[in-house]
Amino acid sequence: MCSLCGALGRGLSWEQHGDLGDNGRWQLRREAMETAAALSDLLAPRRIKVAANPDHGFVVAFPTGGAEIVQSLGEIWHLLLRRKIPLPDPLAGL
Amino acid sequence: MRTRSTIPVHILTGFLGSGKTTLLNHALTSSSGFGADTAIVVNEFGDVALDQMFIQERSEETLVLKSGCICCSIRTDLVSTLTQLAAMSDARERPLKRVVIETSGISDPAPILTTLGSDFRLLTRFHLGAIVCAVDATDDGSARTEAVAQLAAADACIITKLDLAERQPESSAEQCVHRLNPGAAIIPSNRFASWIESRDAPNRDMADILASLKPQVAAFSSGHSVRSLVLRTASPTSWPRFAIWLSALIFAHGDRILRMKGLLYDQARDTWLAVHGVRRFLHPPEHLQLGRGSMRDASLVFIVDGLDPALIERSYRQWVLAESDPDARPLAKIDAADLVPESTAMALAMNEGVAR
Repeated sequence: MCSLCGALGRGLSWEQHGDLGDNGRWQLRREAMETAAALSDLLAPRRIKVAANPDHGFVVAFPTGGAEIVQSLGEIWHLLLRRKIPLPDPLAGL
Repeated sequence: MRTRSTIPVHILTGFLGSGKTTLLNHALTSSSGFGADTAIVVNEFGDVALDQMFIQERSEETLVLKSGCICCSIRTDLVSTLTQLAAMSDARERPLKRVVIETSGISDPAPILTTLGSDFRLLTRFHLGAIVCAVDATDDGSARTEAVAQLAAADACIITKLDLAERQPESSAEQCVHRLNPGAAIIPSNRFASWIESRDAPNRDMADILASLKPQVAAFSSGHSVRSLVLRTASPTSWPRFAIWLSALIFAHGDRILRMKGLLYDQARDTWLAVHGVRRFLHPPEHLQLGRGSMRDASLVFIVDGLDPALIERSYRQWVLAESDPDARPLAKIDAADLVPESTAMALAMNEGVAR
């Protein structure tokens, strides 16, 4: 797939690949939780919370009460876009 | 997850007249060249007798999705060709060891990468190998956009037509390559086949090159807005923070990031991690056992068109190294509201229709 667009295909997303060693599932789970916490911090001004979904992927909860499950970082950006929520831009300056 | 039992697909690219076919002909006919276990996929082919080879001649058929993002373009011709090759390989006593695709002179390599990474039938049988770009030494540096994209995407370059380059000696051509793509290896033309074969399996060449680079910001030529950035900095404190930064960066600006390569130390797994991508297409990260002692700095290379490299460096420090950079604001305080640039909004809006 276009790994970050998430436009095509399913399965493990780009950030979940790599040699996970003997504790692969545990490592993925730990990284997903860390990713979710960092995303929640990043999106806190939008009152959006992200949690690691059991198995893999994330649950994105919106201030209106709705929630959606996504599989990857790329899908999160698409989800924000679909809901017309401004996306974080690393180059936009702070 | 991809396994290494899949067949590597290498790409030979280069602009019109850069000598790709000559390189390929030599690699197929010389005693030290490719053997019968190498399949060649070309758009057009010359007069070399290659009965013992897998040769697939195809015109390019590209399915461009509504997104308009070139990374989301699918080479439908390639799907059918590689599927056929997989079947032929299964039927042979000696299965294929590798596939080499020669692109047309005006092809952008990005759709090929997308095709290899998006079709699940192909994912079970193939993986992307190396990208080699033939660079014409007689070119005066005012290369066309397609040629710049090809050179930027390359893992290695071969300088061709050195005998004709009276005013552009080899060193000049090499400097041009290094300015645009500092992470690319430069290999002699007679080593094309052996270098490709050495890249069937992951090796440390790219890691060594990245680790040896010095920080720099360089412009390609006066006719282009293409610039390269070599960033040497502390490795990210965590892979998730780096992944968030890179995904947000490439999602928003991938159409202007021609190439990125990185060598990072992954603290959580106590190993090195190689990441690289072309535009919006990122290869799966690879963990490498490098044994680089106490050296933990990251090496990141970006080749960008129309972006300020200094902004990329600043954003890396702010988003990824927030904990260790006293001047950076923590990730939690970033408020990107109302900061979506017009180009981002347009690109994302176009992608919306094909996202699911």
